[in-house]
Amino acid sequence: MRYENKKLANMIDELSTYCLERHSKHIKLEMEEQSDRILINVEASELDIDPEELAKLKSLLNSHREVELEEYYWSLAGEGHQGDELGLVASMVDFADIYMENNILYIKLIRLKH
Amino acid sequence: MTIKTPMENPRGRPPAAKISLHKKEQYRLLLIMPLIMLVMAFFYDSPSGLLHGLNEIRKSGDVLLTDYIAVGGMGAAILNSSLVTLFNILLLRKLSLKPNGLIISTIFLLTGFSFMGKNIFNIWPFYIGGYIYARFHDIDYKNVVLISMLSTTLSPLITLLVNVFQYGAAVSVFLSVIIGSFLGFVMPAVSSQVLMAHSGYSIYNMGFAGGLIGILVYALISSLGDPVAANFIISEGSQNGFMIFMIIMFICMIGYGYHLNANSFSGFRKLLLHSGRLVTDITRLDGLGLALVNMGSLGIIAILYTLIMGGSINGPTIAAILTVTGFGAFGKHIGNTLPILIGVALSSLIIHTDIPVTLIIITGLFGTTLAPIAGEFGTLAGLILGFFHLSLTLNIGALHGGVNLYNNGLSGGIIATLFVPVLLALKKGEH
Repeated sequence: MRYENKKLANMIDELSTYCLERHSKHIKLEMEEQSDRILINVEASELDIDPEELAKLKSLLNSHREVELEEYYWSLAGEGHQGDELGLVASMVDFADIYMENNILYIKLIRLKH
Repeated sequence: MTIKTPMENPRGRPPAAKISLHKKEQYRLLLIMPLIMLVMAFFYDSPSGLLHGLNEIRKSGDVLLTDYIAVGGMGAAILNSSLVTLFNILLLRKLSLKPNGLIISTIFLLTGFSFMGKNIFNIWPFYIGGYIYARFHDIDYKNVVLISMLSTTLSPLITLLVNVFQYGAAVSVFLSVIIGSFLGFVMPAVSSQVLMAHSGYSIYNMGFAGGLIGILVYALISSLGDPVAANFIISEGSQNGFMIFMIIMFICMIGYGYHLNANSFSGFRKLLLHSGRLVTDITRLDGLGLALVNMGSLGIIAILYTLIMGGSINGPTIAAILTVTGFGAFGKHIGNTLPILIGVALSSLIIHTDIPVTLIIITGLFGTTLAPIAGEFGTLAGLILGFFHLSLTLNIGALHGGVNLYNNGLSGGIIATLFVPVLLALKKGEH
């Protein structure tokens, strides 16, 4: 994949910006490369996020990968001033699992290698 | 069709539910407009008249502004638009892409610009170049197909090069296809790079990329041969029949969108809060139903703007109306477009040049490429930028000789690149 490392870096940038904009006090980011996929895990505690926004985030990240958007716009991920480009991250992942537990937001993303 | 997300109903009636469409159903929806237009063309002209009109369009030169209605007649213009649109939809379906905001807006943009500049003869090299790019980098063509479609902003260049090369028809066409394919090859990289300049604040980014390339290529052509004059061919009168078709289509979009959105406009106010900055896919963020409502509303506003400004329905205004409508699925809405429209209209009152009204109208409508700035920095910023946009657009076309059809994308890109940092500097608080 072209610019794969830059794309991953931009996705992580965007995810961390999203959490920082919502005043998270502690953010843990993990990335793991496997043979056929990349795993990105985010744990953000004490986030200002209401149930409605959480539902929206789940819905957004659980939609499908859009390679046509990714190829054109990937460089914008992480470029935003308001951290609202998670739609772009959504277009770059194949599967997502998002949930809240003990006031910690868990975002687990899977990006398949093609 | 699948039903999801039951909605609360305070009056105790059975709960309504949002409806989402499968990919096949979405493609059927996209095919309605070009198929109706295909039939309409034969009501405007005889088959031989249509063929003659298409041939006139082929010979027209295509650079800005070339109204295909004036060149080939309304029937041929509609037929050309319909064929270009159908080809692109079928290509997307063949590649199994699921329609999203960008795909919908690209289709509407292609339909519109096939009334001025894009035709069934001059668009192909960009698809060839995109395909070679995909093969070269070992990626699926579907990754870059939309960039190929949008790269047809430089379609007039193909016609121009055919005329510039004087080595006989076959060789000239061959050389033009080679150069066009090369441009189609580089556009994925160039368009992605120029995005960074304005950080996504100008929606017609391909116009920015195409404009920069157009300036360079046009300068080369001019320095090596005779400069080519821009066109200013605009049809007389107003195509009221097509206006009625568009109005009916927009009302149907609002009605069907209302139906898909659980027979309600619920969520539309939230939609108006999007800044519109790239990437704002309204079909993903708010659902296809509200995206259709938004598109239909913008289409009606674009027609009203044209009429209130004293303009008529011709090739360029149809292109602008359909483009604004399409981008209702990808960032634009009433809240972030109106300030630009009003800004351009007010500016036209104080600019000292005698400008044809069609030019002002399309500058206003295409000027909504700057909608994200109005969406993020407020109405006043939008109004002011409308003034800068009109001034710049009226003067920048000469640099590329009209070979870049998304001329407003070029000026919008420059304005966004310059003004977003300024507006951020003026904004208090944490950025």
